[in-house]
Amino acid sequence: MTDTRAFVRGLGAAAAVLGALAFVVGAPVRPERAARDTIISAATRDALVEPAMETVSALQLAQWIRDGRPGLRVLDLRDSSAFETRHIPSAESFGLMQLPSVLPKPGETIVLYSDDDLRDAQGAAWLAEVGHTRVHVLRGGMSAWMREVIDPVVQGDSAAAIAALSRYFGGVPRAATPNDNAGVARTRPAARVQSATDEFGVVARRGC
Amino acid sequence: MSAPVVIPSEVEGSALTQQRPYADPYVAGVALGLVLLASFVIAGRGLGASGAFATAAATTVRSVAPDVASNNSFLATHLDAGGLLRDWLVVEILGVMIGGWCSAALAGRLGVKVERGPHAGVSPRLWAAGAGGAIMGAGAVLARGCTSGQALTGGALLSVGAWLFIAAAFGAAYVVAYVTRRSWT
Amino acid sequence: MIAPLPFDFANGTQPSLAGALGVGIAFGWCLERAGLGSAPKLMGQFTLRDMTVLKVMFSAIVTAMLGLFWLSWLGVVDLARVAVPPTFIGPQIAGGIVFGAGMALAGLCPGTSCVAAATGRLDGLTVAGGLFAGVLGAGLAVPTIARFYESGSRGTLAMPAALGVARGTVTFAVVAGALAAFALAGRIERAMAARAGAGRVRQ
Repeated sequence: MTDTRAFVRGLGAAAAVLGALAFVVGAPVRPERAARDTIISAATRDALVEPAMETVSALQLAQWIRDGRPGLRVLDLRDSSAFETRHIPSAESFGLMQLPSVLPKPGETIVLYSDDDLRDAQGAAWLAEVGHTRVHVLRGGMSAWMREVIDPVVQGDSAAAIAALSRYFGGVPRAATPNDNAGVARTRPAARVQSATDEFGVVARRGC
Repeated sequence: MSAPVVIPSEVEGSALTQQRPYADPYVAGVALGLVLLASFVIAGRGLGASGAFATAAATTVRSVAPDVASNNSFLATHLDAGGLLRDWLVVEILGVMIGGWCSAALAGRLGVKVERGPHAGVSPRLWAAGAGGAIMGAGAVLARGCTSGQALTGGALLSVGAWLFIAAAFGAAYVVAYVTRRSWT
Repeated sequence: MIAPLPFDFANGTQPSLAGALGVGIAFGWCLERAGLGSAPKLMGQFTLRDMTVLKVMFSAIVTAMLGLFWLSWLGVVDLARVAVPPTFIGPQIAGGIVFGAGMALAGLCPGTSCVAAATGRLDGLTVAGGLFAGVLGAGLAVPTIARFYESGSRGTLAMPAALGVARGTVTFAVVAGALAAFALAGRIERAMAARAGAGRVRQ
């Protein structure tokens, strides 16, 4: 019995030490990694001088998420029920009005998306005002994600790579058929309430 | 965990019928924390319980009235095209039952009974259990989780809503427990 | 970044469900070992006789929280890819109150009711049945309270962001708070035991 008590005291001491160290360290990121991400190349510096609204494609974002790009934050600006129904993996749900309170961090890359170009643009502008320098907007928003990553029609040289990327996110890549026109966006009728498992059979919800 | 109970040779019965004492709560808690951490690391998500009940409820509604299920924003988000057994939380809760059974079996704590306070009757206990369960279900729907999903998981992730939930739930539990203290003491 | 491993993205696949089962078994084991599958023991927390619930819960929270912080620091886990439950201020406070009241009536929470049911406790089984009915009924009622249900949405809001402090600061505060709570819990248990002992002697 006494060794259990000693063991428990040891655990408590370890927790106290780790907690105190956490206070000292502040952010759960190693200094070398944070520093590496702030060393910018000349090309990046040029791009940063004018923090305009940079766009990024859904496939590029998918690659960033899969590869675990350091400092990546994906912000979903849609309302919470849309977020709950389906969102890009690793995305955080934010209201437009909350963006100005997001503190800039060295080495971050922020990607905004929603289903409204105007909202994205406003969000990017506000973030730039608050000091963020690497803010991207997902070109085409959530529908582009669905169209290019989850339900892509693949053909050509990069078909295999895109298909692998799509499957990583639970997508169902399909080969182009004569009926598909490459580059023509297919619209899907919006369901009144979208089930968490839409026609692709992939569950996007996380419950508790 | 704790040292096993020493069984005197003259006592009848196998080792399995002798009850082991419970584990030290701090040790069990740290172990539970490591399980939660493993869940974050392996699956990118934490534990849960009420979500499995929500999926079961949504699936049930879908089987009798599919339109109601798909038009209800809460139920629709808890539906699974692949069926109950493809849902992460449902499988996890089945695991909880297996794990609980194994631990009890090895500790000699299996037994069909109605656990209650020393002065409580079986029938009042069961009515309170059912009513309490239903009320908990309503609370879990509102709060998007329960002690496993919000308090433990959300707590470890430092989610604001989760910590508010912890404070509110503990507070209410103390009040109701005081009012009904006869049933447990 | 190694973790989280990509199993959860395609929810429902074999590896992700195998993980769910493994995690669940360990979860149930720990709950039962701690004695939380027994309603009278669990309720000891709320009658101030047995602080097991507080000790288990906060030890678990501190362990997982510290683990996440340092694994992230080491570069093993990408915190941005761990799913955080979203915050809805009003509903979670109200839901918490309702949930806590129900839990004190039932004597068990959803997870522990499953452990209790699995070990043969009929009260646990009844709680689980009640839970199913309650979730079903409340789920059907959500559209009628939709405005309140969706109110106070803050997205995935963590305390560091909300308070404008570093994550390490909040981590330290939670550890300190938990250790203080454990010290207090020990005092309460000793005081209650002394009271019970004194009562017996008087008889």
